[in-house]
Amino acid sequence: MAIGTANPRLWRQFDWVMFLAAVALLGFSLACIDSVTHNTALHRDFTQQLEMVIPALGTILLVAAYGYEWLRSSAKYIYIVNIVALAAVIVVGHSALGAQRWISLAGFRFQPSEFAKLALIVTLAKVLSDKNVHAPDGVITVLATVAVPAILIFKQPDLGTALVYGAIALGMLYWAGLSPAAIFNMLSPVVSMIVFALGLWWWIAYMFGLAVFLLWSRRHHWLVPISLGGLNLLTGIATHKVWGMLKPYQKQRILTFLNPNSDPLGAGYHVIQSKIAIGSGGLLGEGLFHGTQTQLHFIPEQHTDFIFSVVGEELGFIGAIVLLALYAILIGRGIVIANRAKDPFASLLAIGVVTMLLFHVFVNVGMATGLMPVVGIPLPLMSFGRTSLLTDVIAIGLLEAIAMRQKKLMF
Amino acid sequence: MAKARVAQPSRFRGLVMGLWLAAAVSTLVFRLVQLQLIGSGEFRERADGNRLRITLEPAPRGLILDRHGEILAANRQAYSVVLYPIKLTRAQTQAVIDRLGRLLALSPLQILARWKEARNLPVRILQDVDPKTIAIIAENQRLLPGVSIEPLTVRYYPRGRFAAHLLGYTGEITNAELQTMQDDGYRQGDIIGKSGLEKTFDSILRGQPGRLQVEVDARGRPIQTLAEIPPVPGKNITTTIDAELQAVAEQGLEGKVGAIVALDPQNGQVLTLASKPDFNPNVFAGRLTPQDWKALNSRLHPLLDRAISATYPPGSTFKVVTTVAAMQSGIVKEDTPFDSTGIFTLGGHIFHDWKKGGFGRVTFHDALVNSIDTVYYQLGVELGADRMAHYAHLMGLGQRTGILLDGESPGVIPDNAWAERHLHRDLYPGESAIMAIGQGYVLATPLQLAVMVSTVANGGRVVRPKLLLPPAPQEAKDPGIVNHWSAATWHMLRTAMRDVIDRGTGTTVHIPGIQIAGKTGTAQWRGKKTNAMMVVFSPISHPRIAISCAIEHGGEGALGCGPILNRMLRQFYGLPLSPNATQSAKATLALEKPATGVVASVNPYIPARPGAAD
Repeated sequence: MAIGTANPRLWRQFDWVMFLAAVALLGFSLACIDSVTHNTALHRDFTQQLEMVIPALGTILLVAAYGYEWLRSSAKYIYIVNIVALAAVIVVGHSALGAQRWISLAGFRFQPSEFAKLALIVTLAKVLSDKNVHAPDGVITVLATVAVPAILIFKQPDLGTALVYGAIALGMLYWAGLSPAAIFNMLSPVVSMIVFALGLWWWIAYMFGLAVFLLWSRRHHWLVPISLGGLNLLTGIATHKVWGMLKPYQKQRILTFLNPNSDPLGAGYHVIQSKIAIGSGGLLGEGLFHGTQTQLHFIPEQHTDFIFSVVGEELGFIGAIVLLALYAILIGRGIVIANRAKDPFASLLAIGVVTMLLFHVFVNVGMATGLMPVVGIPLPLMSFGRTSLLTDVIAIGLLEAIAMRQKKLMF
Repeated sequence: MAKARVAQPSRFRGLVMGLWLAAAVSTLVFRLVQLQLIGSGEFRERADGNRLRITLEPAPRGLILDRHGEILAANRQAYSVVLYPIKLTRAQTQAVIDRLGRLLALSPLQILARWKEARNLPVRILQDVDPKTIAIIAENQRLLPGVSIEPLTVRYYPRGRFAAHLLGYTGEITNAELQTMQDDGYRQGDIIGKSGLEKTFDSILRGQPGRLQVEVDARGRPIQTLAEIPPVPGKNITTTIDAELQAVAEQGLEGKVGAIVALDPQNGQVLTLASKPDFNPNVFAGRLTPQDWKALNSRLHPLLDRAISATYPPGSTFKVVTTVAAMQSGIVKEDTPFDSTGIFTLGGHIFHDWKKGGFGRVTFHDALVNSIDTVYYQLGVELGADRMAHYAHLMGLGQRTGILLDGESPGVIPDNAWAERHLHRDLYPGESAIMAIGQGYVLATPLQLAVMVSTVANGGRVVRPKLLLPPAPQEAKDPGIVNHWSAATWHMLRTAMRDVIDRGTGTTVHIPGIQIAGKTGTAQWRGKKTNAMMVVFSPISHPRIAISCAIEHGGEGALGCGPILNRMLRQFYGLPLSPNATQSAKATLALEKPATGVVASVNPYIPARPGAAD
């Protein structure tokens, strides 16, 4: 629990490469937000982001100094607070785009689902490091831990964050030592749902394949294959019900992803315009403040979810590669930190953060380039938005905290 | 066991995570190569397609001038509301259309229809919008993405209702018009001539629109002009119209229903082409109000150009034709005596003269001067319809004159071939009798009567009415009919028609010291009150003006038309217009009356509709 500043030797292990990558990304972010919003009423967002830089970098250092031990001991309370906050969103939240995501606290508007990602990482790290994930009770505890907040988020509904949840859980389960087959077994009900949506015959073939797979891997108690098969059957049949639970705009986004040109002025508009912007940037880009798509505001929400299109258009292929390289450095260092972590809790914490960042970057850039459906996932450290920025810097602070307290290197 | 595995993080799992990272990053890099390096050109084009807009800059329309250079049609600056088909969601589109509809008092459906019509081109929602509406739209620009206010030149007719039918009016090209005119370089949104000279000479007046390459933002608002090909202004046209003469004619017709046509009989130049009631062509520049619509669609058909489209029984003015036919056929001479008793009997039918009791013993000369019907009934029967029709055709009747205006009627000159086609029988002698006095099936437009009297005035040439100075190539050539009548016929026409004005039925036109020849007509038509008809030309020795006049229910020709023609001739000769002339003339005149009763009983009513004959 010692504050890092009290122990100057800790700072020798501070990961400067990762920190500088984060600083560089914040620089990119400011340039792009300025480019989108200058000469519009939204320019106050640039000012706001600018004012956030020092507190953001301070947060990284503060979290790094404070360490992570306190999280281990207070994971239970974090979990409870998280559930309460998510429930509060549904009860008293502000809505935007057909979903309730915001709550106001002491005059501050924030999105609990952003912090919920960190809360999930902490609680999963705690559970996975304490329980035996190969024993049925361990599996059930893990599933229960993930399920409660996941259902609350899905109810908001926030499809993007729900997907991030799934990704984090997967990454951490794998890291905790679960075999890919076991992970598949846990995931199979969801797979069953997706396959059912493709068509009945596909689903029947899938169910047959699943049965063969379960019979072949007879390592489990007989209850395991039976309950898994039953669960797959149930979720497959319930597909239509779940589809019906999605908000119209979410359905539209998924359908539009499958064929963006089906509604070029409606839901497909974002993706088409974003692709045009990125594609027209070419190798070198049109220069900051000179992209026609950006400057003439052809892309809605461009300084938040679609900020990558600014990089693509104005800084070109080179700029986009530099940006991706910075993310690769950030995430790559995170993997190294997870590998060198002092104990399982810290290691799982690190890998949770790494998975979250990787998933965000991949889905967000994939969305901007038309590879992924439009789900509201911000680009870490780049997108405008105070809650997500705070989440990201806390996450990086945690990585630094783990790095500073890693195993002694072999000299 | 799990604890143990996590406690010793395997290098293998770290490697797997690293591979995931590498896979994700290389997928994205691959995608960027695809978009930015391979597809860059295509996307650059699409980005330009987004931001660049080619707009057409309308060319200022050429002016229409009268023969003395007075401006009859000009242009003025106005503003139009234009909707750009920018990319908006359906809900946004609906909101914009609703707001715009409220501001402009148009139904959203109308706007939507206009928008869909234009597909992906900017569409003019409303032209010539008042300054207040412009101000409101400018204030609410943020709420109206895609809506733009653009300058526009609007056709302007400085004299308002003046010569409205002749000048015509302009309007936006309709889809139907576009279908047929697309090949001539017309485009959606073009302002074109819809009637009159505006329509006929549109290709001269319209010019070439310029092109403007403009950069626009996502809301479709112009940011800057990148390139411009300036428009080529339309050419002016000088018409043959004498604006002051036209004005006198229109003044005379004010409040009446009818038409007056004045030609230069030597070359066919149209000096006046007046029709009443008329309309103000300026109303077509903006939006037509319901009152405008009501006025334009009134029972009196103000949009109809009666000078060229309406056909009237020429009445006694047709006696000029009968006279030529009778003299050229040799059945009568100028001094042939007739007994005018007031009645003419044919097969038990009695045909009355307009003057009860008749004129006693008269010559043929007197018969024309006093318009004695019984004499002409007799000649009509003797001549037969075919011979009268033959001469009528040689004087420009029964066929279109070829004036370069839309909607000209050919009129009707009945002969036996015509009767065969339309009545499936030969004409009865009684029908020939009343044809001789310009009643029955005979129908002519005021313009045709002007050509007819011009033929008499210029020595036998049928002229084609011309509208431009110099004549347009399409109107330069006359029909090529030249009559070589005998000297006796010419003598009869010139002296008797002079006497009509000097001492006969047409003294209301008389101007001391001016040689005027003419013929009155008072024709039975629809309703009880007769149509006033009259044709004149002047001076007799070398005529420079020939006028025809037709006033529906105008009473006697001399009274309805005479005073107006008198004033026109005074205007033509630069004499002071004297409105009192009519009063004195009326008191001293034995006025021609129509051959009432009999005519109506013999003749079926033939409606005056264009294209009744072919």
